[in-house]
Amino acid sequence: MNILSIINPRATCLAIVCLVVGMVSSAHAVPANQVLRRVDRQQIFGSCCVSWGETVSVVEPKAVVPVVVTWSTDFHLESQIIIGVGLIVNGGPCQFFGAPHLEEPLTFASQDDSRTLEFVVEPAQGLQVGNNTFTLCGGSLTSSSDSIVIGFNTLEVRLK
Amino acid sequence: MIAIKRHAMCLAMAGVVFGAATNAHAVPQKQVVAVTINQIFTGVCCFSWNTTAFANEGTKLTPVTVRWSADFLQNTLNNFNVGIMINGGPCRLDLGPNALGSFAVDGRSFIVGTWEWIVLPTDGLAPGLNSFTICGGGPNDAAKVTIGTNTLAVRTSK
Repeated sequence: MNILSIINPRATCLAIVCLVVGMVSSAHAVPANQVLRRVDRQQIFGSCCVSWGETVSVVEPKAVVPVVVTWSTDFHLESQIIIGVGLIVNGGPCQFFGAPHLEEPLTFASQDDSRTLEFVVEPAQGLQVGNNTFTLCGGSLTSSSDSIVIGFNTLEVRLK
Repeated sequence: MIAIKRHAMCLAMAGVVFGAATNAHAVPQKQVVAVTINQIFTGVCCFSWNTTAFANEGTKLTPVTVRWSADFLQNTLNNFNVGIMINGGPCRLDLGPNALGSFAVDGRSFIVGTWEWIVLPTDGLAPGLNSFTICGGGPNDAAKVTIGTNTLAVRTSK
């Protein structure tokens, strides 16, 4: 017996259409854990390097590819100090990818400044098949008594 | 014969739906914008800075990343803020960094900066075309900033 003859053709048709819609939608979705937005202010003290408590994650395919992590932030430094910024990949050590840092602007130190930093993580730098986590880390490169105030910021990871 | 026609019709419907859904995710013409003139903005935050890009959302809304990269020159010694208007709504300064920066004010030196904002579905996104307009301003009526060459890019998919 033809199985289609015992299934309502309209129901079958509707199911196929729904399946197609679902496949197309999911193929373009950006998982929420690939982006993070913080709208508070936190002051972080100490020498480099400690976790700054902001994590995003992305799923790598079987053929692991590089990822791009972008951090865009307001910040404030009280004095002429240098703050190193890096990433903890999958719970490992704090690594610098291109050694970005934050410095006190030349003038007008009473207000926040803003920067966008981009890190490129290669497969050999700790990436693995499946889920990968990326946590911001850093600290002062000049003195353990230094601190940085991090304002509103966004963190995003995407496969390259 | 009737069964074959039904299957053909079903396949056609699936094709139409697939085509429509795929088209909804295609890169719109103004998902990226480049502005190559200098514009002077004076006044209290916040008002439109005239640069708008668009992103197409499917029926299942996803986060949108908005990146603005600009040359700018602070004509007055003020704290300037920058943000985005979503679909013509109020100027949002809480979607990521909003400080324009603090730099030397000599009236002639442009500085370059980049800001990236994350817009979540709950921030006012809707299925179909969504607009994102740069906005900002200073703390008083005399605050003046010049925005030079700049680019605005939005994307919804990884």
